[in-house]
This record gives sequence, C-alpha cells and structure tokens, in this order.
Amino acid sequence: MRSTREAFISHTIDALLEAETRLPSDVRKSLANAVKAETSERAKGQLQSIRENVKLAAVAGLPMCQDTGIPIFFVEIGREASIDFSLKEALGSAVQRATDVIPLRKHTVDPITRASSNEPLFDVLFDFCDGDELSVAVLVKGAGSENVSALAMLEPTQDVLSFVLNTIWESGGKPCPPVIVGLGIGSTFDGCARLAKKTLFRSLDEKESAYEAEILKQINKLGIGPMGLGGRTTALRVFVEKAPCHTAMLPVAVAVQCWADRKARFRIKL
Amino acid sequence: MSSVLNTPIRPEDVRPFKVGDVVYINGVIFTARDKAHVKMLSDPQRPFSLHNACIYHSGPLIVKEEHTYRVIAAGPTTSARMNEQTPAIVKQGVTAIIGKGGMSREVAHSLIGRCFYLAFPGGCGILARERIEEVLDVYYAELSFTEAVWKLRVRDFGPLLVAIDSYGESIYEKIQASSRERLHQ
Repeated sequence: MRSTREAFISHTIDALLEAETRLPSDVRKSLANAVKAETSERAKGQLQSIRENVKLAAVAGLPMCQDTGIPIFFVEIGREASIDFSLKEALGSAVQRATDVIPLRKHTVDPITRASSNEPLFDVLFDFCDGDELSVAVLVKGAGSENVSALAMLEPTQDVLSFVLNTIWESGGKPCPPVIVGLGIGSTFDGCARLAKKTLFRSLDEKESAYEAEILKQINKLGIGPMGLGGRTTALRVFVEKAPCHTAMLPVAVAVQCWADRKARFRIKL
Repeated sequence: MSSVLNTPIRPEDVRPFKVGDVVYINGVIFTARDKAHVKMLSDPQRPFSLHNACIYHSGPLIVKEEHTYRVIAAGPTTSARMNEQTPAIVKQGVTAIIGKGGMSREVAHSLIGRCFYLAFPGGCGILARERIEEVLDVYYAELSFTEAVWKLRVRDFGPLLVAIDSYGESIYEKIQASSRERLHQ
C-alpha cells in the first residue's frame, strides 16, 4: 500500500503542475474583461498576447512563464487528521520532484554567497480547520512581483491608501501588470505580511468589499496599465484582510502578484 | 510602423523606429540577465561579440537532453535590474535590447543614436518559446542555466514594442510622469 506521505507528495506535484500550466478560470475571466475595459490598442495588444500565451501553455502542458516562481503553500490541517510524516519535508520533496517532471526552473541560490543551491525553494503557511482532511492550496509567486511587494510600519495617523498607491506607482511595469494586490492591515510586522500573502489565495470571483473596490479604482486611475505601457487595468483585483493592532501601530503590507496568478488546491484524507 | 528586422542590427537600422512601433526579429539573440551582465563586462576573454548584437533580458527555462538543449519557456525578465550595467553594455556595440517593464532615464539616454529597447509581453514564456528555432550555444553556464548567456536562433521574435527609441524617448517615462500627476491629485 502506498504510504500517506507518497500520496500527499503525488497530489502536491499534480497541484504544482496544474498551477504552472493552467491559469485558473477566475483570472482568465478577469483578463478577458480587462480586454473589454481597455480602449487603447497597445493595452489590448499586451492583454491579447497574455491570453494567447495562457492558451498555448495549457495545450502544451508547459509552464506559462519561465519564472516558475516560488510555491507558497497554505495547508489547513483538520483537527481530527492524523499525520505520520513531516509535512514540510514532504512539501520540499514534492517541489524537488516537480522540478524534474514538470519541469520547473532551477533558480535557487544561497542568499549570501549567491551560489546555486539544490535546496527546495518554497514557503508554507499552516492553519487548522474542522474535519479529518488536509486542505492544501498552492500559489506560485514570481520574483518580478515579489520584488515590488512592500511593508510599512505606518504611524497611526498616516494614510493606508497613499502607501498602497505609492507602492504601485513605484513598481510601474516591473511586476507584470495587470497585477493582483493583497493588502494586510494591522497585526504586527510579520503578521501583516502573512495576512497580505494569505489574501492571494482567494478567488477573483469573490464579491469585493466597498473598501477593496475603492482601492482598486484608485490604483487603476494611475494609468500604468498592462506591462506599464499605459492603460486602464493596472490591477485586476484588490484583496484586503485586517487584524486588530496596537493603538500605537499601523502595520501595512502590500503583496503584489503578477497577472500569472497561478493557483491550485486539493484535499486529501490521510 | 511594423516590420521585421534581421540580425545583425546596425545603428542605422534602429534609427527609423519611434516609440510605439512594432518590430519582429529574425536571426541571433543573446540572453543575459543579472550575473551575465556583470560577467560580460568583467571578462577580458568574452567568447562572443556584442558588436551590433541583440541582448534579451531573460532567464529561460531550458533543460539539457542527451544531444541537445530543450527550451521549455523563455519570456523576458524585469529589465530594470540591469539599469546599472546597461550603458556600458551599449558602449560595447549592442543595438537592440529586449526585455519587460522598462529601464531608467540614464539607460534611455545611453541608447541615443545607436540602440533601442523593445518590450516583449511579460510572463509570456510559451509565446517566446514558439519563436525560438534553435539553441546555438551557451556561455557562462557555470553561472547556472538561468543566469547563463544563451545564443538563440529566433524567427519572427515578437511582438516587440519599441518602448524606448534611439532618440531617448521612453513610453515608461511618459506613463510614469502622468501617473505621478494622478497620484498627487
């Protein structure tokens, strides 16, 4: 009988393959709407190239972008689940095997020496849920968009929206817009970054709050547009998550995701 | 204006083009990103010439097979990371730079009279793959396959938007200026 670890690894590799090669329908729908919203031929052209690329990648079963990114896993562990292996080790093994079978790009380096490294590159967030299953979501994060993400320990009287708009303005065309913006407000230094990252697992189909809609509107007023070449769609969607914070603090994190918002998920009973 | 350019591209070939034009390239291009830029400038025995060359800011996903290299995906990387080295690279005779996201005002200035910057749609690794006919050679592979210089033969490589022309005009600079105004409204 196949071990539960093996089953978990196999599901994880399948999820990585799906994320890398097939852009989820919520993002595809949003890109299609963006084409309609744009009035300039240049912006439409950039979006059409993106959509063509997405189609070709799915048909070929190959990664849509050569930056196969950093897999970020969000693992929710059922309270009644019993796990007889190390989840972190199994995720690392899955990433390593996926690198050969999909294949993924080998772009991991030691952060100090900058020498190539064979260690698996991934991050994982854990949480608990009801039931006896493991629920695993993966988000593939490219370096171009991760590099423009920002965190600020604002003073409580400072304006969150200004910080967000400045971050997006400074990033220009670098993160491959139209982007998805995850905003974490409150909590602590590291807490707001986790909140921001977690929002990116949400579906673009979810109904947006009035606050999210207002920030999206303000971002798109900037006119940065697809690939920073001008247009109405700088961002496809803004997600906001908040948590209580100290009266002396206002931590804010802006997690930026490229148009290649590569996501997949699975559930497994162990 | 939309047209096909064959490599080698000479400075006089880029001068008719203005920002907003669309170009396709036929011939030979060299990938180069962060480490390769530093290496190209510091290597007295650089094994390839940059004279009238086309540089592609890309860290392609390429795998080695028994007798050949297989290109899996090869879209552009963020050009701004190469801002610092680019004026020196252009001085070596580079006439076309392909990338995404734009480059600095200093770079735009360094292109005047001899080079243009072409935007390939970011994230479009498979679109690029479809236009790559052959891996001709690889240099500096010790930097890793991602950071190496790949000499590629391409056919109708594009669509490439002239985003900074050889007169120093930059679409990015214009967009940045207008979005800055809106930011402060």
